[in-house]
Amino acid sequence: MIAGYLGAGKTTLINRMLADAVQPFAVIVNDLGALAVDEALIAGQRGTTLSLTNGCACCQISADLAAQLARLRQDDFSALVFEASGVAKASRLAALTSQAEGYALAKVVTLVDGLDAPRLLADAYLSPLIKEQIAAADWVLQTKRSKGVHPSLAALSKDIDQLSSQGRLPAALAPEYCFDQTARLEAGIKAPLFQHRVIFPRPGLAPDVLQTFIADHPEIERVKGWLVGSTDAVLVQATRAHFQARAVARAHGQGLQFIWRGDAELNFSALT
Amino acid sequence: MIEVYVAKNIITMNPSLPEATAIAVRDGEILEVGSLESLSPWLIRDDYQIIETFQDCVIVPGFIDPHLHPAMAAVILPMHFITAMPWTLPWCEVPASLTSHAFDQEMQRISATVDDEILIFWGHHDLWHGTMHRDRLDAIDADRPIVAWNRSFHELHMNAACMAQLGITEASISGRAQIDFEAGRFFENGLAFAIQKLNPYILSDTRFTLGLERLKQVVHAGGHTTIGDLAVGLFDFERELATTVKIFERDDTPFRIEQVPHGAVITHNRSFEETQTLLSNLSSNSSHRLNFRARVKLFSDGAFFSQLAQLLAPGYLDGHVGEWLTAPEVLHEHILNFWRAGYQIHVHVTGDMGVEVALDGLAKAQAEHPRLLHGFTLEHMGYATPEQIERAKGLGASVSANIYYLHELSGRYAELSVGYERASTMGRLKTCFDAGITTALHSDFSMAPAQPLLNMWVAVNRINAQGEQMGAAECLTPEQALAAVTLNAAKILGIETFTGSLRAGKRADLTVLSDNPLTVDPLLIKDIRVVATVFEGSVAPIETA
Repeated sequence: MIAGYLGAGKTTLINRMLADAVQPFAVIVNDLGALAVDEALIAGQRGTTLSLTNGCACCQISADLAAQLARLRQDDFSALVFEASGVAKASRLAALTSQAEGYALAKVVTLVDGLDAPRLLADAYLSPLIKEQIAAADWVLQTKRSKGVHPSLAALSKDIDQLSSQGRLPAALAPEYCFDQTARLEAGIKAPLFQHRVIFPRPGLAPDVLQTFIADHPEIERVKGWLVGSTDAVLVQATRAHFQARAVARAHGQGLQFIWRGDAELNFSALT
Repeated sequence: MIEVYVAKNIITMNPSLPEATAIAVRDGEILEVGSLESLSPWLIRDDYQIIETFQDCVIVPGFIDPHLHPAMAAVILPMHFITAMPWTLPWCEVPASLTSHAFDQEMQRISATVDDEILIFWGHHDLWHGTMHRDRLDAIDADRPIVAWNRSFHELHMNAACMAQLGITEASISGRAQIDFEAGRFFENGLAFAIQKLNPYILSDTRFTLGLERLKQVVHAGGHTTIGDLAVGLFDFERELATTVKIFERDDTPFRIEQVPHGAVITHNRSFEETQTLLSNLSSNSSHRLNFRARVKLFSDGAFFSQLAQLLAPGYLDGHVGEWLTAPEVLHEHILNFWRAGYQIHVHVTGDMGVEVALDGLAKAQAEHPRLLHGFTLEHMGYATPEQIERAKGLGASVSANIYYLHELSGRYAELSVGYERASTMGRLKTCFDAGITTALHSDFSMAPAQPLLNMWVAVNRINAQGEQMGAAECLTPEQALAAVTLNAAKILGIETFTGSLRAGKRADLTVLSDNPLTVDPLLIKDIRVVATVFEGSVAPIETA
């Protein structure tokens, strides 16, 4: 679930997620505003988007949400990204959607506009809502401001990360990454569509060894992370169609993340 | 042919001629209100017939409920009511079931007489009816699916047969919060799971149609000749349009529906120009009984019954905060768009902070593009400060209030929600009248019974469910309360030129009562019987059990 007040960048983020997607995922937009998710991305089979037009937040007899959630289950999506309305209390919506059969809430990401935050937090009508959205999140990301987390936000929570408007999204924002095995089992889905694992390759592993490994394993959909050398490191971003490795000054030590299809184990001994 | 209705009293709500004893009607239109003698210039020029059926009754202008929700009512009315309080429904008299035993007996009785696919009872309340459990429902009939829905609507129980029919298994609900499989209990967020399963049934065409047919009876029994559907599109815009025309645009429907579209639904994925084109097409295609006009419904803060109203300081006793149904800046944008286009704007506001945001929007609109007689209306208005009411007056706003909040909730809200001062002054209506604001009452049915006389009784006496008077200084006079369900309600919908009072030239919309609400003991206003209505000159008697 992506939460956050109007203008926090929810739709922009979802468009970036769609552009990055390894596997199509579904998007539900729970807002009556204009549907701004990029139609070109949807048309390109990156996902399907549905907009909820039922605006009655106090009434649970919504044919809309229930029917759409049920319909999406027929379509075999591995993940659903739910864009909360800008005025939704994240905790309440999370509680509500987590009841849907066949779904399990993986995480709530709240976005906060770093430039607008001082105004919002000073607004008597809005500050309780903004604080609630932050408090209810599993992960808070500040958008739009590049000069560090705004002090008014930092004062609310120590764990606010910055989301850059450029470059690739953090791996943890990939829907398939959120959608881990436990959540799938809770949702009653037996065979996992994807698995993911972080491995730590042996020091000095050459990028072309990794590229060959990916080519030899067609079930691999996505690889990203670092290969650590003695003095430098290589940042790898790979999909089936594209392999990119570039030298960076330092590694972040997070290892190399693999996402692959199916429920079979992968043998990583060639890399570690 | 002229029909002349004579009555013991006719209360006209026309300030120049407040009382009369006869009223002449031709082709659904009032020719004149007065006495048999004063009507003679008409009667010597045309055939006439004196209707004496109501000569011992009191005639008032046809009641108007300017805010209810037919689509929501259509979901609830097909359920079987078993309630602690007696309900008078046109198709059945619901007795007071005050004990667990009485509740079970009623379930048993109803179960033996109907063959619904899923038997749904509504009205269970622990305080009277004891703890519900799926075994208790199985004891009624283990072979047919049964649901017992709580009075609050936030909880239900179902029996094993029902769970089997809906495909609910222990595995499918394992680990979900607020569901107790053993007890068959689904509450709060767990209720969403149950509703998801029940939706295909409770929203099916057959039941939805039955619900609207029943709503028709409820509206008539309450004595209404006009109602406002104050959010067309609450469930499904197209379906509501199609179904309401089918059910209500018929000669046997003794009332009209003033349709006000849900602003957020109607503007969704449309430019404002496209929205205007759509609405003006709807207005010009209005039928006789179903009318769109240049009106729109917008929403500010959350539901009053769920304590989601947004409150100014000091807020709620427990420190929780309410919710916005629309972001304040988006609400303001909608207000400005519809304001510039000349619309009458209705804004759902429940708490004083919700009122503040709506009035901020109106103030912006007035500053940019001043309008007079614009009909901007604060809807529900559970809490508002006296200063906000002054401000509303200054900006030209009207008020349409749900006064039943005070009856049902003020006792409990004093203890549990906001404290005595604010609980006892919810529905601050005398202040509105004193300020000269056009003030009406509505039921928001199915939030409260659609009975204008009951709402008048609450507004005049301000007695809560515990029998205690709350905020005596805010009691209305019976005259004010009657205006609030007739002429003022017509003004709220922008239709006062043709209904809402009785005078030459208006449509002959009348409500016939067994007694005079202005002169009976105010404590008995709710016990006055609605004998009949006259809709545009056609008499529609009300059968009583």
